[in-house]
Amino acid sequence: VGTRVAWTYGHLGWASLALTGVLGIACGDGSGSAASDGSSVTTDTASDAGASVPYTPEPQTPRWTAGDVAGELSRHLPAAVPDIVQLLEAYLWMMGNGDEECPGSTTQLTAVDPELGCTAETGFWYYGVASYVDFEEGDWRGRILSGDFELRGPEGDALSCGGHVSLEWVEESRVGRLLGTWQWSAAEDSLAEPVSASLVIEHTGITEDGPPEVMRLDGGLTTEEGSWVFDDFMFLEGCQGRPTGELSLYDPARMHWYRLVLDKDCSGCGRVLFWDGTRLGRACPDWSGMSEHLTDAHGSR
Amino acid sequence: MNLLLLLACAGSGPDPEPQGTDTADPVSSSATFMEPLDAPRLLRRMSIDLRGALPAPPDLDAVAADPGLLSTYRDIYLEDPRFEARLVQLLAERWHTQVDEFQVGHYDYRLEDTQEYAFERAVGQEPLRLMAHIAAHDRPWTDIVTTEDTMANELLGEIWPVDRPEGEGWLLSRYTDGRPGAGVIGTNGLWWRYVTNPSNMNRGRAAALTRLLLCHDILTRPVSFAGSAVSTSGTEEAIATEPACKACHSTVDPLAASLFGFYWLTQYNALEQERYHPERELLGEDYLGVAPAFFGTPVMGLSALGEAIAGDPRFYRCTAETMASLLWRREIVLEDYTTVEALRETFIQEGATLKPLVRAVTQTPEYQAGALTPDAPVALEQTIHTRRLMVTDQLASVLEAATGFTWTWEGFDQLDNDTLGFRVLGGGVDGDQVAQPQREPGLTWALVIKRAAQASAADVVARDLGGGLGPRVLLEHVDDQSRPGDSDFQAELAQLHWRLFAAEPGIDRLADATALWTDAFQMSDAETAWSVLLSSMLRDPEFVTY
Repeated sequence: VGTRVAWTYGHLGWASLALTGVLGIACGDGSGSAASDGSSVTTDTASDAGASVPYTPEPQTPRWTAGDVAGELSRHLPAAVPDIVQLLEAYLWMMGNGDEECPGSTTQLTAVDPELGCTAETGFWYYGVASYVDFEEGDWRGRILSGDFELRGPEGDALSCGGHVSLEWVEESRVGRLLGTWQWSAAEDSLAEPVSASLVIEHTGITEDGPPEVMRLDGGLTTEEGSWVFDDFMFLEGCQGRPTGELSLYDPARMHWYRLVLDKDCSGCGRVLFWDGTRLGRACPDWSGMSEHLTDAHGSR
Repeated sequence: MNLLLLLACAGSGPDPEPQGTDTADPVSSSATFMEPLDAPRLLRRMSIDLRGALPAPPDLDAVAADPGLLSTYRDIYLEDPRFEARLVQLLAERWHTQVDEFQVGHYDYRLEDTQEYAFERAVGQEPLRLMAHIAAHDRPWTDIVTTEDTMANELLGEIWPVDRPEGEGWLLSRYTDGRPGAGVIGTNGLWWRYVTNPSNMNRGRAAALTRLLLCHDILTRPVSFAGSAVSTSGTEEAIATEPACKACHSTVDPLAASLFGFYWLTQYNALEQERYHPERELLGEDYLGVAPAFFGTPVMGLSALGEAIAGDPRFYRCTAETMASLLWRREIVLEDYTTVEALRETFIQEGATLKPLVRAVTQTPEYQAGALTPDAPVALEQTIHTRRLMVTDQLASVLEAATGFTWTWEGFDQLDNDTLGFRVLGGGVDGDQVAQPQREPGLTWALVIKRAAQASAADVVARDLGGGLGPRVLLEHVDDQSRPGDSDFQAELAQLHWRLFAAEPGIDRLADATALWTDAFQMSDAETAWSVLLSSMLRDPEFVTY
């Protein structure tokens, strides 16, 4: 006796249990403990300076040599950029297999159950939202598909999208954009698995029977084969399929980036830099096939 | 009535007997005003905190006979498989990932509505499970920001790009989408909770990281809006040039720039959100105009960021502060500096694994306190909790362990969600609107306790007295023919008090219990009478506090 408790509920005996709620109101502040995430009180951390720490970060050293970088690029990059036209075609094909009720349009996916989607009489299943625009204004024409959707055919084909794909033509030039994450199960290229991108693919000087004068890549791309970031990366007519510009390559084992700064003289060679700027030497990847791949996939009108 | 309320709020609690054992330094000056719980009640507190269950009666007997065994039992509890699950709930109070709604829903994976709860908890528990696993398996706590492992259950193994071995429940797994090994900061579960958007650009996530892992809460800094711009472009310019803005953003923006592998170009899309995007890592510098860095040190990607955190002295102090706060059941204040600092030193000296830190916290006088001395300062009385309130997650696990009862409806755990449940009403944390567990009783808490007690009592009595084949769970001595005055009846009451309250029942208590049983029996039957009595015991203040 004589002891105080900082908080106690008290014992009222069995017969008084019905008062529990009343006592709760009386003793509690009724605040419900609502608080902001930022309510933690912290102490001055300055005094931690110099305190012993049982962990030393690993030095960030490059795993790859310049030759390794060249080999990685030669092996995985040439066929990595997917054919984005097929995404538009696949979308229109699957939307064309719906009916008046489901999804109710051959181009717009806007009126299906947000949680269940819908299944058309053909067995095609539609889920999510999408907007498709096909426009032409003078010399400028284009197709734009944006959405957050999944479409499935009765045979199991599936087109999944969280993003945007577009193709625009102006005279002899074309710009393709691939943003977000996409997968088209029937694809014969990298899109058969999820592809993540914020990529611009630009062709200028397109001709009927040859490669465009300029093919340019900007932005990032991740496929099952790897991750790359292109910075003004270009195949110029007359460079025999050897690019200029810059290209960064991701090492998934160490989570490091390597940058290849290509010479401006169409040699296809360049300096390899580790992410922190450390020079690793020169590399001359084998670019054969990449220019053709880009032309085949995106060069037609 | 006023007198009754006064008694209830300031009434006498148990009279703890000073232990004088197993208390560790540091002993702050406030410790002199604390009187420890008696050994059985302290064992009960440790068992609930570390296992989410009541101690077994033989364990209570043992520490009652020899309080020196408390530390032995505490160490046994730390090795109990339930310690890992309990840590999940404790850490959830701070990490706030067990929310009821994410931008991606169960329907995005074509899961049935009955799987909604399982989906939401699986996502939210991913980082918590990883931390708890690391702690329970005595791995260095730095692994929580450096390991390539994650944890996945069957559901996550099915829907996310993870390589999960065959087996039941939560298992160590690895992502297969090329994401860096960075412990919890490489988990979907964390970033699905802490989302971002094109104007925030990971800054909120950066602030969450420093708060959760370094106890460096950027949002508590004073912000001057003098000279702030109104347009978006003006805001970005101000961030880069205004000294008042730069004070925070010079720290936040480089950190945010390191998180762009989780930057989503489309919100609310499962494919976009479930995968890591290495190619976006370099976007951070473009979007924010600063290179990725951790408080001035350049970092390349999440792995380097995790390592930088593990190499920061604040990480260790924050861990000590966090565990002290979770086990003391209160916020840490400046006056705790010395104690927390000592805990940090212990943590590091013991190899930076979590169990020794937890052990050290349970040895602090405040953890063991059951009461304050009469001359304790009022400020101390207002700060510390000598009696802790059991809230929904504890209630759920304690009731399940004690009675076998789990409360689910439509696939939802009724004490662990607020979509179709009572988690917040019962004092729990939802990670969204309610960030701390309830510290003091309230009306809805009492109502939830009441319903949970009624349901679990009815359930366990039906099982124990119903003549089923399984072993009895709670009622050890009686059958439906036992009556007051019978030796088995009296023995049952005594063992229930001991088991549920860790206290020997007084004569008055036994009489009250007998009277309640008798009243109920006269209106119904023996099974109902035991249900009524047990229901009242399971919501007794002695049961729902610890």
